[in-house]
Amino acid sequence: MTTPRNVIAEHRRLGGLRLEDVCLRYGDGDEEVIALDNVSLSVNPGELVAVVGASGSGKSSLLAVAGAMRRPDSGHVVVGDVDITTLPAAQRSAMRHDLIGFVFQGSNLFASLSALEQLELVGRIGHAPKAQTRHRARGLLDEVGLASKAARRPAHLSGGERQRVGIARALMAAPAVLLVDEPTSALDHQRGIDIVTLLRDETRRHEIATLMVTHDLSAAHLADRLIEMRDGRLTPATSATAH
Amino acid sequence: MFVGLRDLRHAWGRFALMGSVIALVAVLTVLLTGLSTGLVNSGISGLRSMPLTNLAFEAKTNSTFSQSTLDAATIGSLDRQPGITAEPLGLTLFNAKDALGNSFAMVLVGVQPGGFMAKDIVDGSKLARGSNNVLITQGIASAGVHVGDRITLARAGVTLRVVGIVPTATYGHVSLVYAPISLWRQATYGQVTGGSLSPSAQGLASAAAMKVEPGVDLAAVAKRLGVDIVTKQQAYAGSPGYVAETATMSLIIDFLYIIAALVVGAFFTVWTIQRKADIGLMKALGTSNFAVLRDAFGQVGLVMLASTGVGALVGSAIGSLITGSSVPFALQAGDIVSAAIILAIAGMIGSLVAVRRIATIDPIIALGAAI
Repeated sequence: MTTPRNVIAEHRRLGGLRLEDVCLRYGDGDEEVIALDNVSLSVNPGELVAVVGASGSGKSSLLAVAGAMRRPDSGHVVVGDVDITTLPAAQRSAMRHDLIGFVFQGSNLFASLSALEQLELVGRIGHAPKAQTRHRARGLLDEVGLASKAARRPAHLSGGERQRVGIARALMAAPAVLLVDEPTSALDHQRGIDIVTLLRDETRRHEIATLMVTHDLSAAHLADRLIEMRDGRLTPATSATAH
Repeated sequence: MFVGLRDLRHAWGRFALMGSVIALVAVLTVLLTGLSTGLVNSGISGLRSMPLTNLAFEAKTNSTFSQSTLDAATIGSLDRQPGITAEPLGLTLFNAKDALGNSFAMVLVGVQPGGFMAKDIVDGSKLARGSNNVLITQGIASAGVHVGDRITLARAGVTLRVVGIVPTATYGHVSLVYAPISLWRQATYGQVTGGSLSPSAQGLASAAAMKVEPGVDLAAVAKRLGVDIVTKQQAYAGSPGYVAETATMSLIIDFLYIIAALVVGAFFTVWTIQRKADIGLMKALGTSNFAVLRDAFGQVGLVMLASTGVGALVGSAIGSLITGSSVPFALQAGDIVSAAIILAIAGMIGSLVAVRRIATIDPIIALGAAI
């Protein structure tokens, strides 16, 4: 039987992330704000692309559209090999689980769940077998250096550790695309560098197309490509790489 | 329920506080249900225990024993109807004094000795036709009246001799005393004529106790004979205070259900607002609306089940201490279970407000941006 999840799984990893002439507006009339203005962007598997820009430049809108949380007014958003632009809400929800991993600002973990459970939840959402889910979750926590802290809740982890759990959680469903929102905002400089380095390593190890928005230039320079966003527009890459 | 269960464990203090409020409502509900049942028993247990299906009253007397009088001819006509067996039934409230001069209220019930209304005794002997023998209930016996004692009816001046004891039964919260119908007539109508029974009072009764076979057209019979015929259950309403008492208790219990729904609704609305970020995050991670709702509703269900269960148990324990005291209290397992179920359902309905709010939470809040 073909289900939306099966279809999505078949298309996994085929094409990274692609935005074509994406426009997104908020409000109407005099109050209209153009959040994304003909944005085109391509992130290949295994590539970490950083988008920098001031507050209100459209970075969050870019993530919202790429993450199937907002439907653009025009243009196309392709994740893997699936055009998610016009998918109905239920399939967009399934898409967020199956093809897209999110690393949120300030880690955004559940206070009531241990580090291991944060990852297991993703397996539960995807109805994966419990034993398989637990095995993968432990493996990923080990990968981000937190195997010994699997039973700890967020309140008993440092800011950097919480962000590592967030990264492991984002990798849990083996996504094709990783969307990262200000991963260093709650961290000191060195921990911020460590986290972005970890992100870059995981991107390459898992061959994920990673799009990271940040205002932290030193962290952004660790990316494979650096793009600037201003007034809803992406300017041509100003720096190929900084490492 | 993956997140819902862990939230319960993590924020157990808040849930315990809310659960204890629901448990207290459950305790109150169980106790009021017991009181309600006790009051009903105290009001109509005598009538309910009578082996009859229907009662015939004088027309336009609101089917109450105190207003109705039927003559022997009418009762005889009823008894001759195909499929109907009818006997005279008298019922009058008296003040009485026992052998020691202690006053007590009693309802004198006149029945036909040897008829289908004759009571089974638990002690002593049965009623005999034409005597001044009576049967008292265990309730009166527990107050110190024994087989062989004499009871004097105030005003009527009639002396009754206790020959047997029957199970506890009351009408309008007053214990019953069973007498032959002739003795009941003497006590009820004899006082009007100064002790002797006038010829016109011969054969009178308050109502006719009836046993009716299925299929009998009672409306036609009632119309033909000029009487009101009601079922036994319909006759309960004629018990003094019965309707007002049951309506009052029902109203209080219904308000408790409404309070439970409001408390649960308010708590889970606040809880949902506090969890808004988590719910948005769950949706951002790909959880469907249905799964998020199932998680939240399951959480409500568990809290309601646990708290109403504890409340019902505590209420039952308190109730068992009250049962048998002077407070009219009676609890049955079915009443407790149904009260707990209704309470849990009321809580679930109350939580629908919060659950509806969950459905509208946008996953974009997980990005923490005002977009």
